[in-house]
Amino acid sequence: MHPIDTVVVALYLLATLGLGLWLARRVHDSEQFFLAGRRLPFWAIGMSLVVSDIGALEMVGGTAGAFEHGISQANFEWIGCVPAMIVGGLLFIPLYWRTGVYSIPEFLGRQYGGGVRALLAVVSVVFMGAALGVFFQASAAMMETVLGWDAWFSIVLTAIVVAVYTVGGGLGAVVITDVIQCIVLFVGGLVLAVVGYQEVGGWEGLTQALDAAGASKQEHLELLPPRVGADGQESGYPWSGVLLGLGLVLSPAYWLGNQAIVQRTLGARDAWHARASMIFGAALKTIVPIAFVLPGLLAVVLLPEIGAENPNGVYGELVKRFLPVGLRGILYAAFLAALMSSVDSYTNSAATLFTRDLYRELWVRGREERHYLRVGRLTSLVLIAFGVAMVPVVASFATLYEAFQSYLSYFQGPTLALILGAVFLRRGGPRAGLLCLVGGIATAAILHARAESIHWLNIAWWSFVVSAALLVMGTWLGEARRPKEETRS
Amino acid sequence: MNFEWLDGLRAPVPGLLHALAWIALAIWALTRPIDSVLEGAPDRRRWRDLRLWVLPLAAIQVALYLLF
Repeated sequence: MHPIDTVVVALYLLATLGLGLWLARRVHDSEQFFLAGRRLPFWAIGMSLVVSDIGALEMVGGTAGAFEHGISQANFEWIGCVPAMIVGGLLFIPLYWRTGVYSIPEFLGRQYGGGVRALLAVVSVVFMGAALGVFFQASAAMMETVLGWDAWFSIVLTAIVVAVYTVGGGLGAVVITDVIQCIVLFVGGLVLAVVGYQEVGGWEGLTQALDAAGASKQEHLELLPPRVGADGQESGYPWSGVLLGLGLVLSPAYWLGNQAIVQRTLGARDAWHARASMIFGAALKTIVPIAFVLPGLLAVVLLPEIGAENPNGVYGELVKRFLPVGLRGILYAAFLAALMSSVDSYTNSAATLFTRDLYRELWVRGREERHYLRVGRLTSLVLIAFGVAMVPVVASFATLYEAFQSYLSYFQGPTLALILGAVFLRRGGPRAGLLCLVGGIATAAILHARAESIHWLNIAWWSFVVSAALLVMGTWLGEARRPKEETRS
Repeated sequence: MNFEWLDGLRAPVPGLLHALAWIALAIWALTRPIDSVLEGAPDRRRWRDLRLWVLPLAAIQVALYLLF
């Protein structure tokens, strides 16, 4: 790495650490740690939502996915985010905010009881720990390709930097550093897209090169490819799975039920800011594919051999070959920003779930706020260590993005069914809730065991259908209407 | 379970289906009551009407799914 790039990266890391440590001095109780004292404005939450979601995964795994499957990778940002964020902002998020809860399991626990709350919290914490492994693995792929750093050295370094400011500053530090990270990330990503676009000769150059690349690349500019392509191969993202699995199940479950997402909106200063944060985030999501999907398409033309050999190395190689010194440093900083924003978000949210929904609810009640603050900080540390330990597991997947989405599809269907039941049916108690959750996860696991024959997007759809059916059946078999919920003014 | 029966639907049908879904979403957003949309807002200025934020987003998505 050129010395100027090293200085840029070092300055960025020092600034992030300094800001995080300064914010940590203002955290004195668990509400400040977990919900930033409920003072966050919509624009900060919106930027934090986006940067937490796009993370290093889209820069590495998303670009790799676009190289392999084409523009259909953008569905994860468009139909896989924007509609759910709009519906969430206008309908669901204000409901959560008004109840004054800290977490989604707590919200669902009001309807379905403590069993569902505890089980959902455990599943979410395990998923988030596994997702941390995906984020760290993405980091290692990039660092190895671009900087020549040893993978484990990169992982441990990133883990230490994130741990320092996340453990100290909680959600407030996470969101404020995310705002800076979002700006760096978009500037870096868009610059690379523009430079690469000029390199291939614009739109005409790109389409001509894809046409000449053979049958396997002819559907790279189809947003909704058929299940079986022109080359006879199964599509990575068939349109039926995109619409049903991604658009109607995975995306709503993620944006309405993922603690790392919803927790930020619960920290909003009022209901309008909570709503607006989601819609503002949806606007940012609309332009994300320009920065993180387009480079994957460009790599089909610019780096065909490297991409075929190691798709996850494409993004780093584009940066190394096509950006000048200095600008490259900003991209490296952007990558670190993306990685850290994802890791800090999941760490803080999983710590919230463990502390509020398990430790405080089941084991140690009635202690002072500073006690739960200490537990939250300790849990954050343990989770980061767990994420590092998960790296070898996620390394066995073809692309990082598929690994992450596969984890999600295990329990997103049942979670969505529970949320819809709690908001619209307003019926169903502990037995119906547990039946839905356990039955849905079991369905996803059984279908995953036959993964060679069923696409994981379709597994998400079918696990949702089974979960919803079990919830309705359990409710119909004799659950009582829930009592009127308490709301805050 | 992989929706093989949908294999016969080729472009532009999937794009049209997606575009219709976006239009339906935009119509739904526009029908939300204004008092609900502005709940908690410090004032009732026009730019705080979140329904108006949704319209350009939906229009861009309709265009994208029809084009690609």
